[in-house]
Amino acid sequence: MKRFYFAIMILLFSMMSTAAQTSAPNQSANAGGMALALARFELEMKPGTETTVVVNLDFHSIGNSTHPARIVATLNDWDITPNGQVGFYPAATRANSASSWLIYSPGEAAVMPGTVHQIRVTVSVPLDATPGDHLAALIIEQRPEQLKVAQNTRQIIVKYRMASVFYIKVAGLTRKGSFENLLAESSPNGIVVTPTLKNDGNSMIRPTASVKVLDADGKVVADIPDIEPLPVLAGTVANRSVEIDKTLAPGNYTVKYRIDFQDGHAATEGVTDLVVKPIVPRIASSGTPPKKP
Amino acid sequence: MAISSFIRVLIVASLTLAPALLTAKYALAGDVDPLPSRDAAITVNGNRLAGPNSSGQRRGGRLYLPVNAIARSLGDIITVNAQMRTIIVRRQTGTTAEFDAAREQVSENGSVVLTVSNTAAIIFTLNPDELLLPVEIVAALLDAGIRFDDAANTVIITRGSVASPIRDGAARSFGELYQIDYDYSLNRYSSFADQNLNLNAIGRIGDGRFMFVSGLSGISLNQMSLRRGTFTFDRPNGQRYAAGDLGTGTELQFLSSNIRGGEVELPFHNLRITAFGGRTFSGVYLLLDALPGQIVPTQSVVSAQNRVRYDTNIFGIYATTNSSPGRLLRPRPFKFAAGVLRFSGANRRGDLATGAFRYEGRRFRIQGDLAAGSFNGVDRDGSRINGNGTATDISATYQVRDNLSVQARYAYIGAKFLSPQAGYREPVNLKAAGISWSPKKWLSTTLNASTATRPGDPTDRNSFVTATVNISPRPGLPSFFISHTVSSSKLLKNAQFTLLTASRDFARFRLFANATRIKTIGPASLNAQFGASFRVGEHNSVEASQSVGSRGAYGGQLDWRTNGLFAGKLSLAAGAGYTTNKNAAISGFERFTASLNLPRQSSLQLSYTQTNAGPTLMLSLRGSLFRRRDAAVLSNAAASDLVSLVKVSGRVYQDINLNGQYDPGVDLPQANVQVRVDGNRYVTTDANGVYTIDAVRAGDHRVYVDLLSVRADLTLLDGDARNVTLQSRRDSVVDFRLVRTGRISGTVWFDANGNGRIDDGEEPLADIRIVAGSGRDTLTDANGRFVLADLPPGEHVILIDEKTLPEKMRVMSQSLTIKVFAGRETGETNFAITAIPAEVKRFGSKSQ
Repeated sequence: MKRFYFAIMILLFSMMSTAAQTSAPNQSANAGGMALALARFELEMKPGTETTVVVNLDFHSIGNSTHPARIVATLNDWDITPNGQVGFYPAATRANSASSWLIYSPGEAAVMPGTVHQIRVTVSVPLDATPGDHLAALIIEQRPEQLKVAQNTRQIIVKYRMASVFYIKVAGLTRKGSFENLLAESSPNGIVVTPTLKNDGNSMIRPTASVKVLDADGKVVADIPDIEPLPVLAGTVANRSVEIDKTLAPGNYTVKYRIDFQDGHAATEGVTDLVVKPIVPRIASSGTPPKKP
Repeated sequence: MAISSFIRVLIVASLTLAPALLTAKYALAGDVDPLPSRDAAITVNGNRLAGPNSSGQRRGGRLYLPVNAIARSLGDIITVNAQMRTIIVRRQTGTTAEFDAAREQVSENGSVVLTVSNTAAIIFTLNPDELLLPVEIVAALLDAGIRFDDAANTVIITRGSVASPIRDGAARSFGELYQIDYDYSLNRYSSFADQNLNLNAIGRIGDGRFMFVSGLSGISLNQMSLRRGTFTFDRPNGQRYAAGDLGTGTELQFLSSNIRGGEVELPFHNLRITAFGGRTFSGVYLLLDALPGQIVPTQSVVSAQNRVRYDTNIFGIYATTNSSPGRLLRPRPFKFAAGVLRFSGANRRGDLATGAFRYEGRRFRIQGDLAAGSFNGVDRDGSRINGNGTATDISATYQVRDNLSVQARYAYIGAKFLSPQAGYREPVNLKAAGISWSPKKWLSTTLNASTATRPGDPTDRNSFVTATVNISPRPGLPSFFISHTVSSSKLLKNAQFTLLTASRDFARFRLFANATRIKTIGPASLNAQFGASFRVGEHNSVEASQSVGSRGAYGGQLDWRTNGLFAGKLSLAAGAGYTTNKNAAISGFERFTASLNLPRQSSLQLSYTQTNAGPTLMLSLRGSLFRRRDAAVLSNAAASDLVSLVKVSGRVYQDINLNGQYDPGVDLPQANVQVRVDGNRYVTTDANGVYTIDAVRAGDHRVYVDLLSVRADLTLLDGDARNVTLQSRRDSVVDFRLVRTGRISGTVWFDANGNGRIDDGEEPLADIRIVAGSGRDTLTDANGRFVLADLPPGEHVILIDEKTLPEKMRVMSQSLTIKVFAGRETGETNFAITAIPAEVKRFGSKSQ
């Protein structure tokens, strides 16, 4: 066979997590000269209602390229794992899926650089929808279009997937955040603080937090005043680490992690001890001195 | 290039098909319906073709269309050469497309955009109008979208925005009422009460706009009497008529009076002639038979002071240049006016002539009024005047720089000059000058001085000098305002008034301080007030202040305001305070105010104050008894536009039964859909799918549905836009018909054995482009599957872009005509791809 055809499909899902983590609704997920806006829709709706929103796909021109790109839209379910990774799943496979409530158009299109392509998404909440958050994601994937044109040559096809995530918030929302545990440990690069947060409500919580490390005298030796952690989805537990890039001298410390779940209740402060042990110098196994770099 | 344009190019480019489109026996589309055997009607951009050679025909499974009639309808120029079997189309866009049957291709500006086969079947008739071409060739040649509507047996051809006939709406009646507003107030004090009711109406009579303003007052509702009333009527040609209580002489200062009568303004070339007549009130309550210089208050005078007496006949006429509305595109800087006035009453009478000029340049403005006349009557002192008098009033402003301007005014009123009305209408001698300077953005200063004397009495002088400094730095820094006035009058020789205010805004609160010093008679009095206001949340605020003054004066007050009750409809304010000084005990006061926003732009305000003087209750209710939705536009539009501002309305609905018209109970109205006119204005449909765009000027407009506000599974069957021509005095109705889209799915596979069936072991073909005539295209996936979505119901021609086929392969079937159903997927639309057979050369055997 004379054809030399190699296609390396690189799926970049990084923007998906960006989309889910983004805190401001006007931010966009972007990749490869394309950007989605809004990257996050939070729609408070009642059962039996319907609304149509527009997802804008902005195709930036890279260089002087005028070559169109073909994009394909699909629906997925999604969630955030306890350690903070955004996971995507086939549509209508998760318990709180709203994928079946969404229809979109067009499902496929060729877009020109320098233009904004608009995708209509209609959300229809069924009459028997249960209160709480229901999640879905509109996935935009770029498809190669010119494989045949450049056949008999080696090609690298880079495919991007972007997501615009939807929180469909059906009336009757409850938010119940609780601070379950707090761990702190030192690492070669600094301090790792891992709170365990739980949301017993039916709607996601977007808490704000701060962390302080105090020495034995009560003096603040390290802190992060404003942390906006990933949202804690309804009915989930999250234990996502916060890293403080500061190496502490050996000794005993106190770590205070203060969190406001924004659920109408007072902020909660968790306190734990941190012991930084002295670093034991590594002893070379041979008697030869180390080489100079 | 816009995406839509690109898609159009893509479609045309994608129509570069296989050189040989074979017969339809290889098509395995399960839902492929045969084309109608009867002739199909054709609409081009919404207009149905009529006459001979205006329908489509089916021949051997292909749809043929009369290309000549269609091209003409699109505005293209078509040339048919039957001998050469070529067709050249020069489109409106300037593009030239050519179909060459011998070469079996369509080219656009020299580039091949479509390769076809079976062109031998095309009959080039001697009469070009009878020439019929296959649908795919017509689409490529004319760059048009072509779709077959099965239900209507119509071929729908669109290019560009669709021009559609519109329905006539209601014709405008002779008269219309735009709005009726009311304003009622009740003021109840400890010893008396009064009520006022103002009623205003605006509307149209014929081609002009009328406005009626009235005011009633009395101590109770059933004892109200008409205090004032004015009816004005403006016509498009600049004529203006008014009757009732009027103010006259807007262009000539010495003709200004309040009269009860009528006024007519008539444009005449570049002049405007204004005449008025009626009765005015002199404001002089003296008896003419009293001795000169002697004031004789009588019972009639005292009672007259409580009501206005129209005791003087008045008539005037004047002409103004450069003021005819609509005649001058750019106003000239100079303006002149001249007129005469006669007034005659028991207290005053006179005849005067007056003139005025006005110049408005970029930096310099000046206005001057001159008047002279003969007068007889009682002046403001009660003295009798009989003789000739003159008057002049000149004022000017010069903008020295952008931040520096100076003003001056000089007015001289002769001792024997009388105006029709005494009191505030009576002119005085005046010399005034001022300067305004803003050396910095945050610093502005003014200095003004004036001296006024009564005509004929130079000793009765009022003089003042006022200087102000205003410091308004950027937000976050304190602001200051300082004002100092020195005045002198006949009774008060040296008075001084000084005011200092300072304030600073913080995130949620504001600090302020005020200080005054007043020096009139005796020692100066000082007063200082300082306080703060706090915002509590989004809707609440609290303000507290304390004042300290000379002579042991103290005062304080605390107020609370909230405006967030009942979704912002109700605002409440309540406060209390105290005052005291060394001569009086502490006295308190309370106040309460409630404001409620009511439907129909109405509002209710209730205010109650309790002081030492007793309680005071004020109630105000204002709003509209009637108001059209377009009242604001029509009330403020030029009179010449009234009859040309019409209404466009219609309905946006989902055509469930696909019969092309709205059927209540069957079709679904679409709510919250945006309908735009000319791209700028838009309205949203209501729950019944109905929209109304008010006050659209007659003429050509583009009315269209914003598809982004439509359900994602709906599309507009007849294009999203209507080019409409609106007529004056008549509304128009434009409906928009939505249909649910459907899909076509299928498989493209390599039919190794050429039997037209997907057999075991035969491989699907990925990345093959499928193109629909309506503009959609897609690629097959790894399993050879494709889905063409978002297609409106009807029949669609779909093709394979042979450029995307693997080498040395060809498609077995030519274009397929597939029926799409609303909300359904038409599956099993399969394309078989076969290898191009090797060329067979037969050689003769060598004879032995």
